[in-house]
Amino acid sequence: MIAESKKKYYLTAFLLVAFAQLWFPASMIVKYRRILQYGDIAKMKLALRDPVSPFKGKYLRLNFKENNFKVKDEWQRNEKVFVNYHLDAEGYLKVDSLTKENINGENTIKAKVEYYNKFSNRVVIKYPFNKYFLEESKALPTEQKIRTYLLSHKDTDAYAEISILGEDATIRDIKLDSIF
Amino acid sequence: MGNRLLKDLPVLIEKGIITDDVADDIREFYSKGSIDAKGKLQLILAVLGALLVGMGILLILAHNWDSLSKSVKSIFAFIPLIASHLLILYVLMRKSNEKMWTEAVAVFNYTAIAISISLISQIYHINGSFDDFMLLWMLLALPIVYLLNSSMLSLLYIGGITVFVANTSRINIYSLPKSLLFIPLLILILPYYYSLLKKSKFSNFTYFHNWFIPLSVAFSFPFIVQGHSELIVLLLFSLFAIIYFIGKMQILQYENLLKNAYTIIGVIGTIILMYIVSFEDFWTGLYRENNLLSYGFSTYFVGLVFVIASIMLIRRIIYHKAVFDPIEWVFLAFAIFYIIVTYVDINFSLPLVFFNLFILFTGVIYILKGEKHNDLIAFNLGLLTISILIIVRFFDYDISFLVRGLIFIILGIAFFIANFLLIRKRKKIKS
Repeated sequence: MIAESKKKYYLTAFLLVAFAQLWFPASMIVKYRRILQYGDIAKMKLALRDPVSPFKGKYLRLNFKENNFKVKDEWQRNEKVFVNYHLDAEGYLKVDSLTKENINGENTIKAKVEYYNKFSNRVVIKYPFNKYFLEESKALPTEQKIRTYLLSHKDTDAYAEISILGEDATIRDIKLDSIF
Repeated sequence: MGNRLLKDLPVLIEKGIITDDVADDIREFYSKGSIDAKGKLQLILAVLGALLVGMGILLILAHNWDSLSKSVKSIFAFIPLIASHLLILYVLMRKSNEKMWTEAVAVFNYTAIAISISLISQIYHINGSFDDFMLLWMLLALPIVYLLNSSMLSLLYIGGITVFVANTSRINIYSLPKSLLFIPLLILILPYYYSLLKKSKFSNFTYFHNWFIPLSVAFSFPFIVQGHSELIVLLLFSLFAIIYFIGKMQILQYENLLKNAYTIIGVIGTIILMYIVSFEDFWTGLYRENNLLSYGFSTYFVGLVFVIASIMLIRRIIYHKAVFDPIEWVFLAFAIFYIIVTYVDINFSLPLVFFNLFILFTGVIYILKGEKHNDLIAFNLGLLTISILIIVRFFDYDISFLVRGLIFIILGIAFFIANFLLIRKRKKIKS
């Protein structure tokens, strides 16, 4: 039982906690809405890496063609990586270099190292936008269509539209016109 | 049992065994007890109800999800959270003394936090890491444990930080692992646990805490030194010793040994580890002439846990002068052999013989202890320890099936006879 005299402290404490509980999800929304609204748009070609299960659960696991880069220095799995890029004439993202710090200030995306191959000196980049959530009933047919298409077409113009603001990036949409 | 006692009360008063006052006290105690029992059922139903409602909301939303716009979806993501806040406010103002209410809204809030964060991640296709999600979730849920005095939420929190530590990823051996955060996260819940032990030592929730906390620690600590399997054995030996020492604390003493989770976990954990290091493969698998310090942080961490166990052992020797208890000393013996084998080129049979004899010795000590105090649990634990040792060794070495079979039969008969003798002795003492 909370004594009457202490009740106001409990209530104040609770209001702070409730504020924190609301603030974190809300700040996620604000951050990603800002990226979508004010961010620069880049296109990234989708690739087929694991034809057996491009889907896991209700989301589409996106593989990008521009997902690996030859490096000179050594990297660790899960390490933070800054992807320096430029956009080509058609708006597709091309990786220029990978750095451990944000040295450019612009045209840089913060990502993680998915995998580093010591022998080929290649870093496979884990972009922060490699999941695309779909509604349950749509997931399976979409998966089957994409799989059939990608298996018969090596090169595809299916791409993901990315929004980049500062060093953060998020996915806007996936364009599968060539498939559907 | 209460009912029978209540029926017997008039007889007991009549025969002068208890006074009227004592009889009244007993009646009052049981009348409260029956209310508690009813409250318990309501409590369980309320907690289950809160969980089901939380999940139900999630499913209904998921069903119509695709036809909603991003903004509408975002608003929906907050509804369970805000609803839980309003309920908490109501409970704080009106029902703060009703356990059923506080537990139920606390659990509802716990699920609502997860719902809102994961829905927003889904709406905006945010691919966060699972450990970060667990960490944020637990930190946001924790204050409610204290605000609403919710034991169920505290258990869910302990479970949650355990899931967190099991999912942390490590970049390299030179940086501090993220899994180390487990320790501050655990410390944050300890004041609540302490208050539970102080205020309601005998409640079910407290028993559950007694199990959850040592199990969570034993499960989580190996993740802090992940990747170095030999160090983990030393870590666990020291950790189970610490758990065992903690079990000796006055505040954790229960009449019934089976309720003292720390002692049980300490003893069983230590004995299992002893079996592991009684195999030759364990010692041949150690990296010889390897500099232990090359593991960096992991070595220091395991070293620290070992030092804490040693200090607790020294304290126990100085202040309690207790009889020799093998469980308290194994971690030290293992550490010595571990360091010798790592740095000095000795024959592996030395630690092997030692640990096999030590298990045998532990078994004998427990049998003697059980016999002396008429304690069937200790007695059978001793028998079991020796039997498993024999069985394990007979599978380890090449021995014919006939001999193995005979050994099992002899062990079985030994169990029967020993228990029979002990039970007869108990009856004699009673009569």
